[in-house]
Amino acid sequence: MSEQFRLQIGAKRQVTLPVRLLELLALEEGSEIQIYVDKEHATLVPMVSVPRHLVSRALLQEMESRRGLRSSDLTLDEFATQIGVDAKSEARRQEILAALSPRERALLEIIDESRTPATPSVSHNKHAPSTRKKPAIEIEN
Amino acid sequence: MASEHNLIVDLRVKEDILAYLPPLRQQIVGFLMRLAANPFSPDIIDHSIQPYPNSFYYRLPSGCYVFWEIVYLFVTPSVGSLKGVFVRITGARFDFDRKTASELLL
Repeated sequence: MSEQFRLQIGAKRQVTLPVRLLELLALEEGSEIQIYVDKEHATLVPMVSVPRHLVSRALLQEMESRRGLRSSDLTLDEFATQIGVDAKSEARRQEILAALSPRERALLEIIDESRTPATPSVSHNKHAPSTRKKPAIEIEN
Repeated sequence: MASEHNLIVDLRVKEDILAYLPPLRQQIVGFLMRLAANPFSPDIIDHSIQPYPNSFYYRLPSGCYVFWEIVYLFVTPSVGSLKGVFVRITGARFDFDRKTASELLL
């Protein structure tokens, strides 16, 4: 059985979700929802937080479809050359890293993380996360 | 220990990362070198996810994921030897499409 809810947007763009809606969707304070907008319709989907080291099923499937040896495969040297990385200097860097203790390597990784851009340089990437501020959602007590 | 000749890269990985900035490309190649040296190193395996048999991925500090498969050219690889073992890189990508746990568990 489907149910409908009519909500009013209040001051500061806030919306109060009815308790019944929270029960139906198993939501509680602190839960996240995502709203998909398609033209004049919107769908609200409850979200579950997942560890960030797990990748999406779509990406996993795409990578799985690439399995299997191919005649076009590149050696590591060919690959590094074609993407403009000096393999010899990187190999030297790796030798130096290998001589470090695990703690020193972990510290370097933190430094690397702060230096390396977390996103590709392509500015028109349609999948890039939005930086727009989300309106707050107030939950009815 | 494996040599760099035991690591091969799917041509499509080049397309994956050509848009990335040089420091990130260098980070990816650095990780591939570690993989080439020993794909079964605890440093790598203990921090990797194995979603399917002989298929792995690892999250770099930048958030980029590197995917690879282990290819055995011999039916029975001898214990402790990497002869006949190839690492084949299948991808190096960010995951901007990751949405929900339900999607992961479908």
